[in-house]
Amino acid sequence: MPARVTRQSEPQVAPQGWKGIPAQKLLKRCELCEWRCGVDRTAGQRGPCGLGIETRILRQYVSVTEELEVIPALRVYLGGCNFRCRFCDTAPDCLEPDRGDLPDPGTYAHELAGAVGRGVQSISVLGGEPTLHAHTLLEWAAAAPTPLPLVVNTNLYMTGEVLEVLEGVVTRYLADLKFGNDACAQRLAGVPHYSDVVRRNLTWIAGRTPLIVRHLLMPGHLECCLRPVAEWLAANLPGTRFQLYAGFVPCWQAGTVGLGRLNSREEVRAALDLLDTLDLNWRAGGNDKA
Amino acid sequence: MTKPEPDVSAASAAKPVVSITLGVDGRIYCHDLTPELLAVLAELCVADPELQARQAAAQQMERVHE
Repeated sequence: MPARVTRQSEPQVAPQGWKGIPAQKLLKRCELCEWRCGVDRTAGQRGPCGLGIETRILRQYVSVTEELEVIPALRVYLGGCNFRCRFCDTAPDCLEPDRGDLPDPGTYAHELAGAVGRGVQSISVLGGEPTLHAHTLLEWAAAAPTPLPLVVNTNLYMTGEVLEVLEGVVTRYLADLKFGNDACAQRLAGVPHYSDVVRRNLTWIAGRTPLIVRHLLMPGHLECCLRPVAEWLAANLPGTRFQLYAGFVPCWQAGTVGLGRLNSREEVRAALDLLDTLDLNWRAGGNDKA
Repeated sequence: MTKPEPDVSAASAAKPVVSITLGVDGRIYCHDLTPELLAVLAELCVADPELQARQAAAQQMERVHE
């Protein structure tokens, strides 16, 4: 579990050059995320995410859930996560990386390209945390007969090296900016150094790859989470496409961390009022805007 | 002996389950939205512009199928 893993180093400020390194070398001393656990995933060692070298597909289906820019999407769920968000709507399945199907990457890349040919606008990869499968995303992109519109749903805890190696492969990031401060990130997801890492990565992505930043409004977390998230974005990445999800439903262990309820109409209204004051290109889903 | 073909269709064959939560105040929370589910929600949320936009996106895909 992440909370019991000792980090090998502090988060690095700038991405390092991993371009051109064969994908599976990334796993020999794994530093795909800012846990930087350094395990050899090719030798069966397991770090906080529990992943080895395999990428399993938990499930996939066509969805029109996500932002209008990316739907209809083929949602592809990959197992394994480096967070333990107590309110996760995919847990515990996504925390068991040995679950799911194990397709041959080359064959699967053709299947994904076929879905695009049948009209899906994007291959929306989620999890778990899909950037922990960066090696597989590279394999799919290389093996596909036509370019894949790979949209990556991410918790933004990847290392700069991963961002660099995926540049040009990922066509859009759907980035979950979940917490507005380190204390909530630690308490609700067991993750250290959260703010520095995700803000660094957002800044890097924003100038290079199309980006939608998401925030799930959690009950009771407007002032500590939504406000700092939205104000930081408006100040540092003004005009960013921002999606507020106000339809929080308590899942998994949410009740153990004080998140065992829906947002009230008043909380949603206050969130929308806050966003109206900021320089953000924002929209709301699961909302009560009317 | 030939190598067995990977069963890439298994994940797509598994039927996902979508959770729908009804708030006591009448709000509807849909965890996920498939094209097939749109018609159900459209009965509950008549003239919802957000839902209509998603229906239009789904219809684009149907036209590709034709």
